[in-house]
Parts: sequence; C-alpha cells; structure tokens
Amino acid sequence: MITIMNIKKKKLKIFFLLFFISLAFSDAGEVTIKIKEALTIGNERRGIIFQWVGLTTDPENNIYITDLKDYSVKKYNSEGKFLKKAGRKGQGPGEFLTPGPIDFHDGFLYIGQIQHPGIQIFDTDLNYIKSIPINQPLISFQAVGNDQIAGSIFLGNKIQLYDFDGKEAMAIPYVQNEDFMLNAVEFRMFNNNLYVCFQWKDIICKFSLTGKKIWERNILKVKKIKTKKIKNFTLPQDICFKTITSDCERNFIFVLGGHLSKNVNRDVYVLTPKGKWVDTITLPEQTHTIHIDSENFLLSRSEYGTLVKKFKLIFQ
Amino acid sequence: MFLLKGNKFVLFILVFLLFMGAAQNLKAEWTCENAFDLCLVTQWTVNNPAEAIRCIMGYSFCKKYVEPLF
Repeated sequence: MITIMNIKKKKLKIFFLLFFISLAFSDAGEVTIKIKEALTIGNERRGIIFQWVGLTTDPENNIYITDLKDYSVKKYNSEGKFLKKAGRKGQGPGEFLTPGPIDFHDGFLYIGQIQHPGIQIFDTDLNYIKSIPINQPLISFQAVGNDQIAGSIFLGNKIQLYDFDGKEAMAIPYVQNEDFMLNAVEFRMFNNNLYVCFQWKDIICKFSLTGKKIWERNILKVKKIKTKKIKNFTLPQDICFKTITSDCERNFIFVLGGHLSKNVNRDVYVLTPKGKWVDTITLPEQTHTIHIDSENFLLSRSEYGTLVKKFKLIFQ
Repeated sequence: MFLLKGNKFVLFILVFLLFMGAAQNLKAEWTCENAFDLCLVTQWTVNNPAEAIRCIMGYSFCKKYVEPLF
C-alpha cells in the first residue's frame, strides 16, 4: 500500500515538474486577443478619403494615409480629426502618380509609389524634404535608421538596403530558388530580426539580419496554391498573406491572411517572436493591410477603403 | 391551353435570354487575370520582355488591394 502511494506521489511530482517546465518554455502562456472598435476615420466632410492604400502612425499616434484616388498624403490626429493634406498628381517633388506604401521613422515620413520607383521624404507637417532615387519599384519598404531604407524587390529574392542616395547597401537573402513571382514578400525588421510573410506561399519566417533563418511556420496548412496560365506566365491565384507587423507591448507578430484564410482578408494570425501561434483575430471587414500604433490600436480598412477603423487590442 | 403553352414557351425564351445575358456579363467581368492579359497585350513587346514585370507587379497589386473591392 505504501509502495503504491509512493508511486502515485512520484507520478504527481513528475506531472507538476513537467507542467512547470512547459510553463517555463512557453513564451506566450495562454493569451487570447480581442479587438474593440474605438474610432472611424474619414467620415467627416473635411479630410474625406477616396481610396487609401498605405497607413502609418507617429509616436503621438497621428495617422498618415496615402490616398490613391486624389494623389495625396493625409494626416489625422489620434482622435481621427483631419489635420492636413499634401500632394497632387504629377511626377515632381511632393507629387504622386500612385501613392502607396508609407512608413514613419525618426520624425520623417517615407512614401513610395505602386509600380513607380523612388521614395519621397516628408516631415510630419507634410512638407516635402527630398527624394530617394531607388531605381526599381518596391513591393514594400521600411525606413530602418542610419539613413537607410530596406525594400523587398520583385526579382531579387532578398531584402535590399539602400542609402538615401539610392545606392545599394547590404542585402538579406530570404530564399534561394529563382521563382521570383512566388517569392514576393512583405516584411518587418525590428529587434535586430527580419520577419517575412510570403504573398503566394504559406510561409512566415524569422531571420537574423545576416540572413540566417531562425524559424519558419506554415499557418494555413496549404500544400499547393492554385495557378492559372496566361500566355507564357503561370500566375498564382490566391494570396496567402498580405502584410506583417508587430505590437509594441509584447512584440507579437501580426500577419494578415488573404484569400486562403477561413475569413478571407479578415483573419490576423498572431505569433510570438519565437514563432508560436497565440491567437487568430477576425476583423469585421476585409482589409488589404493592418497597422498597429504605439498604444496598441490596430488600424484597418473599412467601407472599401474610404474609411479607416481603429480597434483597441485587448490581451487577456 | 395553347395560350398557356405559348406563354410557357415565351417564358422559357425570356429566361434563356436572361441567363445568356448574365453569362455574357460574367464573361466580361473585370478580374485581375483579365487586367494582366490586357497589360501584356499593351505593354509586352518581343524586344522588351522586361516590361512584363510591370504587368506582374500590377497583377500582384490588383490581387492585394483591388480585388477585395470587387
């Protein structure tokens, strides 16, 4: 009888030991993430949005959007009040043809154009400062400090860094094969790491800045993407992931899913920096991008791009 | 009875025409693939195949930003 009790006690000890070990190695614990709608931006007469594409925020959480339909960049405060607009159609300084990706870094805004090379720098009052003559259009980019821009390019299979004269600096290769169409990525660099999500593949990766892969995840469990042949080109049909970003509180990775998500263009997959899946948030409306500001508000598209919705992220 | 049969026939023709019209509309629907095809016709020349990259970028943009608006 005593032996049986001893065995039971031992089992119990082992169970608790394993439990605490699993807790120690878990980098997220049991976290669920909820969103609560906080604000709608763009529904006032002033500062009307025609079709926003890019969005970023500054440390005061002022919101900057690029409006494709009126060739402009618009600024709103954190409460959604319209403050200023700059830009017009053209190819000169401070002018746009297809304003698209936008990023904020160290007091300045960096604005790129869809299918057009080059990045323009503005201050936070939307005054044009200068242009960076990058010789090819970028899928996405990030201002990374030391007067450098990191960009994902179509034919390179790498994240290329450029100086402010547009000269190529170092590059971080993220894939070896030559299938350039399927290798298009969105990325985010922070905490000395590179996080990449593939547009046409079910792959999310973390790299060191030297290009060493730290982890790779397949969230959607999709084996093969549907393709369609048009003339000599084989085009992928469904987008796996649309954009990748992070929050400021826990440094979780937020990846917006595309056509292959359960809720098309609405599911946001949340991972820890170690690549562990934490939760999936479902947005109420389809969006093409997401952004998280310094107060952990998530911003996304609403009403077909004529509004911006702001949601509070609640970690439980 | 004849009139009823006649009406049914007319109704059938009308439904058929409506169906064909809808099918035609669907065929003519604007998609990212159709836009890519059109882009190749207008941009890609034998002498300058590099122009096709613009069409591919346009397709990628269309799938990401524009298609959810259809």
